[in-house]
Amino acid sequence: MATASSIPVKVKYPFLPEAREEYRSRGFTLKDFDDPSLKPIVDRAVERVINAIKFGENLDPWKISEDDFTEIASFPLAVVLVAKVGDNFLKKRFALTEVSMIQKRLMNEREEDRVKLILEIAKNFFKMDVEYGELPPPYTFTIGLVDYLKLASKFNDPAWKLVNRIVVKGRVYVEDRELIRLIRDKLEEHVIKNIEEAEKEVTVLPKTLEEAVRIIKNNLPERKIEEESIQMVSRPEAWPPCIKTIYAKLVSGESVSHFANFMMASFLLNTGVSIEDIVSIYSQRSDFNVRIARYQVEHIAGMRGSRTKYITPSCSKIRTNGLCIENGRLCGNVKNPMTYYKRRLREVIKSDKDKDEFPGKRREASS
Amino acid sequence: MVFLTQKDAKFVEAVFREYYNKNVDKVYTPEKIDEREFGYFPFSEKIMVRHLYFDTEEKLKDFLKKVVPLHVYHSAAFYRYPSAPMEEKEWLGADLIFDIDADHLRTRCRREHDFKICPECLDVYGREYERCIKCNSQLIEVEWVCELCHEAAKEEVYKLLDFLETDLGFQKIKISFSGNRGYHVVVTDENIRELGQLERKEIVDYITGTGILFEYLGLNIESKKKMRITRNWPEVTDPGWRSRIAKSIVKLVIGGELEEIIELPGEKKIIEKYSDILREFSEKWSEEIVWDSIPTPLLKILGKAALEYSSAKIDVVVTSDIHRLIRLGNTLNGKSGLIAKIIDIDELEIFDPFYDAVALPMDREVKIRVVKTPRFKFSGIEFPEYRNEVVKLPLPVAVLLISKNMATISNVS
Ligand code: SF4
Ligand SMILES: [Zn+2]
Ligand SMILES: [Zn+2]
Repeated sequence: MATASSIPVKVKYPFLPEAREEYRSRGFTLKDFDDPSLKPIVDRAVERVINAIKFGENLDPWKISEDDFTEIASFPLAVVLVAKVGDNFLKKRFALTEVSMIQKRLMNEREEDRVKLILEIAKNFFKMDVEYGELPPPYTFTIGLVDYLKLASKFNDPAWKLVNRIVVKGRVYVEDRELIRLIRDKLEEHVIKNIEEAEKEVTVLPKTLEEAVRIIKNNLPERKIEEESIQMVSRPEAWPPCIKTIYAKLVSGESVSHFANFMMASFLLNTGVSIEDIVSIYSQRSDFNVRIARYQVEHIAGMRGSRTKYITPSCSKIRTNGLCIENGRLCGNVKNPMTYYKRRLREVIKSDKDKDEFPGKRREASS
Repeated sequence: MVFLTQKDAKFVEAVFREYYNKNVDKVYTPEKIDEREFGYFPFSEKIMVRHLYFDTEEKLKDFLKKVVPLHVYHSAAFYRYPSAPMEEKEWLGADLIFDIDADHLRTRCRREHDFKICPECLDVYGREYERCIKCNSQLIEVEWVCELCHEAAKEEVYKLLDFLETDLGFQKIKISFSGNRGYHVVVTDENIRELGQLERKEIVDYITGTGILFEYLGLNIESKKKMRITRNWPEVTDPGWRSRIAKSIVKLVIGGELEEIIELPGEKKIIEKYSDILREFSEKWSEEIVWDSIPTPLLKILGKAALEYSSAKIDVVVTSDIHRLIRLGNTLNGKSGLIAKIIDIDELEIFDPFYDAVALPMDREVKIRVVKTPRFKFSGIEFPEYRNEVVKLPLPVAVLLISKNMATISNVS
């Protein structure tokens, strides 16, 4: 197995400018990949994507191709392929896999190399307000308050809460591994942005790459569209704005806080959606883990642990967690999202009936 | 109505009008005025008029002269379209604002100087009453602010400033008196403008000590005695919360203020039980705390008390609300007739609202019927207690008492 120090930096961190430079310097265009001599690069790119689908975060970061250039070039090519497959789940999954490998590789570097690389990535590449300094152990870096808050305030672990950090004159002390964790989120955004750019730029693919896209598509997991059954049971038209917002984030694969997950799951359960169907919403997420999702949803449903079925959190609780939309302005003074739902549901059902009674009438009439 | 009688409202409005006509240039203009939303309460109604927009200082000032607001506010936020409805304003950022109000500070004096009044009979009631016994009118609350209240609020401002400067490293900090019971602190460092609700909430939690876990401070108070982590105790020389907790524990123990902070009877009992140890500590500790000698139940209480003692009592909703309106600096506050004065940090210590925030002329006298007041000092003059009597008082004092519903200009003959 390769170790961190024996592999060149540009191979391990293919998003860095020096890797991109090396790729660009050869002057390839996408058409060139029809040339059989470049087949190893195409194969490696396809493998990168399929590995992401299969292994996700568990992918071994040291299983890479023997040839440095093949490894370097396969990254931008894989980005193009993912873009052309055009699947949101794959986009997130690919980004997640690549950045989790980068995280592991960084952790594996020798201390001094790690410091250099972190500064290179955080400061030079992402223009983050990060400094390395003589700090009381275990701290090694400081981050400017604003940058820290932007990256860390979405985490639920109390260790990330500002109040539990050492903050001196606007600088937050962090350990290597913590900074790497924060960089990881920036990287994920970066990879996704690359994919989205490729989506816009790349129009036609040469034959070989078309074939590669087809192979990847065949490897995509079959995801049943359980969204439909959720919509049958719990009428989304009647959901309050806070729930709609979280749901939209969930299906687009964005990460939401633990509280938001709890709120969503308990709301759906209370509107009669089955545990199966709720777990399936989570299955569309790139960081999905069936076992954990099922466990958590079952817990909320009261099948595990305390066995009390959780009621949906109140609006004031939701408000303190910053998830209420426009301070409830759109919800007419309800105290709980379920109340909003029940009220709206009545209207929705009534308008269904109206539609049935006047089949000729257009939709506007009911809204 | 905000005042006891229509005549009172008309009177105060005339005084405010004269003030704005002569002194409108003293009004503060917020940075980027053309990206702010303005709002105000008129004298006539209890409804705030919002979504106003002034692209220049002059227009704002003309408006104040013409409309004469009871209270006037501007948004901490910057918007592309400040006068559009909320959904269409396009939020561009916001100053970071803090509100400290003596009202939230549970000062003990409140029980003595706050009361309720019947707007019809002008009878005085205790705070527990809802309606007048004679005429069944809804009673009005009267809230006085004494020196103790003012000083308590100031104390919190100092704590807040220490968090903002020493820990969070903010550079541009503006303080103003609210014009009534508290202070506003505004951070205008450019890089904080884009912080969203979630990030602001983290700052709030830092300042109020919300969600703090003692084990991160080296104070493992949850676990059993034998499992206690005894290394890494917080030291007074440590940065941030660690030193705050250490310093506060020393202060509480040596200064004997512990009993004042502890309110739960169960905790009081524990304090009593360890009173000998505490006495011994207060003799032995000067700067260094002998952590190992503190029994766990006591440590737990000390930790909690130190947290309560060192956190700053800010209004948590105000700071996380990115659309909040705040009082326009150097304008009259309709609850007092005092000015919401912008203060230099160095002036804060000697700032006396009943002296430095007086904006109306002292040399004019007005005859009013005073229902009830405590003794107080205003603009260097001592005033005695008044109880249902007609007196001639300097204009700013009369406006203060009328605005607080403690006096009326009606029925003076
Ligand atoms: S008021 Fe309640 S239901 Fe409406 S958005 Fe806020 S939290 Fe949700
Ligand atoms: Zn009465
Ligand atoms: Zn008082």
